[in-house]
Amino acid sequence: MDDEAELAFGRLDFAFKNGIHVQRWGEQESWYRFVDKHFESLKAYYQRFFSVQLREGGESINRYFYLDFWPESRGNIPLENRHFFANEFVIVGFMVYKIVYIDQYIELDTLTVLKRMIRQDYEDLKLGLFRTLAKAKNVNTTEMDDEKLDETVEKAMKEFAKIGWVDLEGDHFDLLPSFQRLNTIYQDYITGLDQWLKQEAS
Amino acid sequence: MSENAFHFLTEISKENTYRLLFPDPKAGLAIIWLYERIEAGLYPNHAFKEKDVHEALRAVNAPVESEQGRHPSAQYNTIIANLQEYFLRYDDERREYLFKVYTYEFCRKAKEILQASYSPTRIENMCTSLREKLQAANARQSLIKWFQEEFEVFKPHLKSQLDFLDRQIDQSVLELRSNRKLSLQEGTILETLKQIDQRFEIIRTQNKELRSAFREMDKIRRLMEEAVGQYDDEGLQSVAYDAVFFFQDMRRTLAIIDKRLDRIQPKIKQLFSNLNKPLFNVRVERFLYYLIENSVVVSGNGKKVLQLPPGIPTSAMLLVKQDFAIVERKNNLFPIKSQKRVITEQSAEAWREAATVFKNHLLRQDQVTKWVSAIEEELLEKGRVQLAPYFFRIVGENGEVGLLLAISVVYKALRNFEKQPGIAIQVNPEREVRNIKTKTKLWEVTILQQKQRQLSF
Repeated sequence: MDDEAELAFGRLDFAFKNGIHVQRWGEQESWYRFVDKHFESLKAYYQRFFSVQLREGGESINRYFYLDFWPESRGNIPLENRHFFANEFVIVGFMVYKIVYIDQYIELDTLTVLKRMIRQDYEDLKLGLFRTLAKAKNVNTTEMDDEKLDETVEKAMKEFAKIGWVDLEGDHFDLLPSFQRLNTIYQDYITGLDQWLKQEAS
Repeated sequence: MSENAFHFLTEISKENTYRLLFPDPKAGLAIIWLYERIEAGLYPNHAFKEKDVHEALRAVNAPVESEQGRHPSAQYNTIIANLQEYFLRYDDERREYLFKVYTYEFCRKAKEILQASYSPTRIENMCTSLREKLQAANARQSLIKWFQEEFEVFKPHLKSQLDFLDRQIDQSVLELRSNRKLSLQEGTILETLKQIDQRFEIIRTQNKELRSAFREMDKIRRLMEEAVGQYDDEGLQSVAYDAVFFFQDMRRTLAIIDKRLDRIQPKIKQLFSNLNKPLFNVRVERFLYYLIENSVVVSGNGKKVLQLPPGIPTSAMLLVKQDFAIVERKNNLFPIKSQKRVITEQSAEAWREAATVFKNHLLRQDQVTKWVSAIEEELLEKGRVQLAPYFFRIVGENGEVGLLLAISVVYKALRNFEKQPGIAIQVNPEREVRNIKTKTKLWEVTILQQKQRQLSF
């Protein structure tokens, strides 16, 4: 047996089951190397005992590993032990993706600025964002709505930090390679939106 | 090739053309020597006399000439005559020499090539000269001058270098963003991204170079502190303090630039893979808009919950919560294990040391008693005694331990007499007893024997 297994596996196992995504980042580096080395046997272990898939995403420097409980998994993880993301977080996640990777505000790295951008910089989305993220009913938003929206954004980022999508330290954050996982989860819907909408209509 | 084509090799091979174009070191170095002086603006109108050429020839061939102890004028004359072919123009009216165009080219090219192969940043050069000048400043006045003239000039230069690096990052980031709209149609973004990634590498190298310049600055700092330490001058010390603070500040800025690069560069690498798929990104945006537009807030159980548009699965990015009942054996339920007794070994040396300390202590105790009884005797004899003279005598007679002994004696004496009936202690803060040798002063303390106790009703 690999000596490293004794040291690494226990904590890594918990991390994986906690939804953590493992990539080449800071302290995760050693876990990453371990998973990379023993990918096949770890995959077999999770498949056999928990009926969940150990998967990899990303390429080269941006590669990452995670346990896939979804979508069709009938894994051996009891329902009461599952914890679901709030739906708001999906929207926050895609907003962050848009801001950083599509609109290329790559230097964005603080929650404060992120909150402000979501609140102010997207005029065309403003109404919808406040309705969904702050549950605001009125066209004119108030300070309370602002605060609620900020709160949702912060909660979402904290949740992303828990699963290793972002590295969050105080106000400062970094998006990690596994943040791209958000896309892969909804990939089918993203690429086939038109078709899917047509199906829904008929 | 046409007949009147120019044959470079043939031409340069004719007679001694080559040697005239590329003179031997003796003459060539003299030309460089003159070039440097012209660059420094030492010759008005860039014109110089024949004696200057002689001086140049002597300067670059110094050791040989001084050995011979004479000016080989004839030899110099030949060299100058040869140089006139391509390098020097002689103005016989003014009796002055000028450089020809080729000379400037010759010198400049050589300088550029050498500079490129060894390319310390400007700052590093400045630091070196700054340090040399500081080393030369060996008097208080020249040190002040160094601070005022050299260091003050240097400060904005260093700052601007750091600002430059910082600005380059800003520019790259902006450029990237402004390129975005273009990129979707023309696919130029990948190229831009590559360029920016490369530019960041360059900034990183420049940052490293600056870092090595900082090593020189550390030397300057040490030298400066040493130099300033020699003079008891508050003004100098305060400028030195400012300078140290400035260095620290610059170092911090450098670290911040490093950190910015560390943060932004990985994201650029992530962008590479994302920007390859502009179509996908358009779809991500559409999906996001669809989510925002069609998600609804519903109330249930007094809570408002957001529902994604029908058909889109709830974000099952689940976390498994693991609850553990932890059963642990508590250590404090059991009696505490007896501790092993620690036996320390005694070394003869330590024992001797302790014995000496103890002996000295006893000895001092004896001396205290001796002095206190002397004071007592005088009191009995004269009816009154002053403590201060005793104090200074003890300090004076007992060398190193004198002060300690004197304090002990006074303390003991006061405690003794205080308790005895019929003895009064008078302390008079108005009158001070001074002693020049020990540089101390004491209040006048008098001990009095009262023959009869005065009772008052």
